[in-house]
Amino acid sequence: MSQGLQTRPKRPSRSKSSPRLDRAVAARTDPDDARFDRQPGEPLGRDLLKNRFVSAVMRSRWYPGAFQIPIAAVFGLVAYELLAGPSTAHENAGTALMWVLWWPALPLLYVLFGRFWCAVCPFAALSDFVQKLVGANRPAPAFLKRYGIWIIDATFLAITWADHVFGIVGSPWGSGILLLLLTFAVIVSGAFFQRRTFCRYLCFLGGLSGNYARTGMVALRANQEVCATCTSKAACYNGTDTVAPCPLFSFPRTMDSSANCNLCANCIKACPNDAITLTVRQPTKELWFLRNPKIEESFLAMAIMGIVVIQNVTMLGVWSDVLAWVNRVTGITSYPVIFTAVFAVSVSIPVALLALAAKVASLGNLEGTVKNFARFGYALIPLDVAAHVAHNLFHLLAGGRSVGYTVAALFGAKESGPTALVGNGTTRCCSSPCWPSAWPDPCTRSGGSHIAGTSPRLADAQPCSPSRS
Amino acid sequence: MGATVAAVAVIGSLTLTSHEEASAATLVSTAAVPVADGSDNPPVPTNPAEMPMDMPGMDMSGSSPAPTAPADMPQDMPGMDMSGSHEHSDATGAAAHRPLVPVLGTFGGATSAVLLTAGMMRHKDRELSLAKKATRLAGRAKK
Repeated sequence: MSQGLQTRPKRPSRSKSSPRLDRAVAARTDPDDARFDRQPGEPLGRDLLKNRFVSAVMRSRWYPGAFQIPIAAVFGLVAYELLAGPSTAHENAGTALMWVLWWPALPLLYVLFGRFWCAVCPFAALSDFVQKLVGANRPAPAFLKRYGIWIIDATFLAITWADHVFGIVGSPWGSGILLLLLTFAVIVSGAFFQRRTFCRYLCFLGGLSGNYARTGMVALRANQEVCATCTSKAACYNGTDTVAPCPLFSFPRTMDSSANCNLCANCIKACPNDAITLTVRQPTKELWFLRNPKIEESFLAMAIMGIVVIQNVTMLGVWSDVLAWVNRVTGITSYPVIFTAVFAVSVSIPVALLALAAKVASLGNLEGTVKNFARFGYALIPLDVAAHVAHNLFHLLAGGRSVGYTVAALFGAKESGPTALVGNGTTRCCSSPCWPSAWPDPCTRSGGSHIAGTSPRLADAQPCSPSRS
Repeated sequence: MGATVAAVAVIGSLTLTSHEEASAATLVSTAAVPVADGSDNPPVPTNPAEMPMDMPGMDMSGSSPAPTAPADMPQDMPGMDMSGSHEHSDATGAAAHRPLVPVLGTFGGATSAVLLTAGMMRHKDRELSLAKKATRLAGRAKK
């Protein structure tokens, strides 16, 4: 194990260090501050590319196309079903494949393989296809480079809000429209801009996967000692005659994060020196070696935390109490208005708490509040992933078999039965130890979502009855 | 940011126009249904006769347990309307109220316009590039 363990050579310390930092380092008053800015690189594990099979797969001309083609075909089916299939969610194979199988599996994929999904994503394949067909290949606009992540933040919040208010997940047609809008945005981006501008700067899933990939177990890096002697004019970034350039505008030589690497293996194929390594690491390891925290990425982590909180809360029986309380206090009866207010508060809470922590920390760690705020936000990413996986596993475990039923129905087989993959005791909150006794038990209360039209949640999706306990 | 807002507006309006029970009821019925009765109890509709029929996830009887799905329906799917009252859906689930043609027409038209514009830009770029190359070669030939 120790033989395979590599450590990137230390980078020279920053030439422009702040006097405050120098004082802190000299006086050893703030080891944290020194640790973050002067640390050696992230330790890398065994190079998977030394394995003959992995190396052959990654260098193959069929990778990642061999994955892209079947996935694109399935997505085509999903789109067709959503737009032209059964209009009720529980009969629609598109809804089941998209929201019961694909969506819940995504965060797990990110933890296991980083942004690998982005390499095989059908939208990315569509972008590449459009680019080859008519692409004008303009550089990505400076505006997008600067503010793209904020657009991603806003899009993610907007889609979550729209789902609760308009019921996108529960409506095959709504999901179909969402797919069409995404498809159109991808086509526009592929038609006018270089590489995968949409995936890097605009895709809300790309933003999410970028953050989650930091916790991923696979890391692609370059051996900087070899790169220092390279004369190939950045073939890993620019590509060669036979290999496409890096689709996400990442330069492996300077890359110290997996946020913008989708493991497409273009750099592996293009590098004439075999300087690229593909290593396995402990999940979340990268977060301990952050060099340049960005406030927008940090904000996305906080926003996702707020989203995950609201998604989980709306599935619980207590949600109706929250709605009733807001109604009692404010007199507002409109669900969209109440939800918007609760949503705004829910998303603001992590931001406010982080801002408070950053302010308090700035009194003691010689960093500004803003820099602390940016750095602390990354600490939420593992929590985001954990909460997201927990939330999504409910859908996968409680509804997994519905994928089989609805897909079988496409081929004329009429199958029905329980949709849960595991026993109800695993997936239900009712009468489980996790349910605080102070809360009204949804098993015994009347109704589910008491305000009309809420997206059906746990109480609705799993009507409680003694026989199912 | 504006594009995000526009996209949400589009998706919202299109989702609502489809008359999906799970979504259309959201806005239509909220005005008709009081959220709470002012007491500490969870709000329970008092007069089912006044309520719109097609409300997802609501127990219209006020009794316990909550309504169950018909036996032949797969359960537990996220976003499912389990109320059992499917005014618009039959077993085949025909896409009766979906404005499919205008939506796909708009999508196809906009996509075509984008592809055409991008193609013309690429053509123009290539012409410019060729012209520059020709000028350079001509300059060299003169020398």
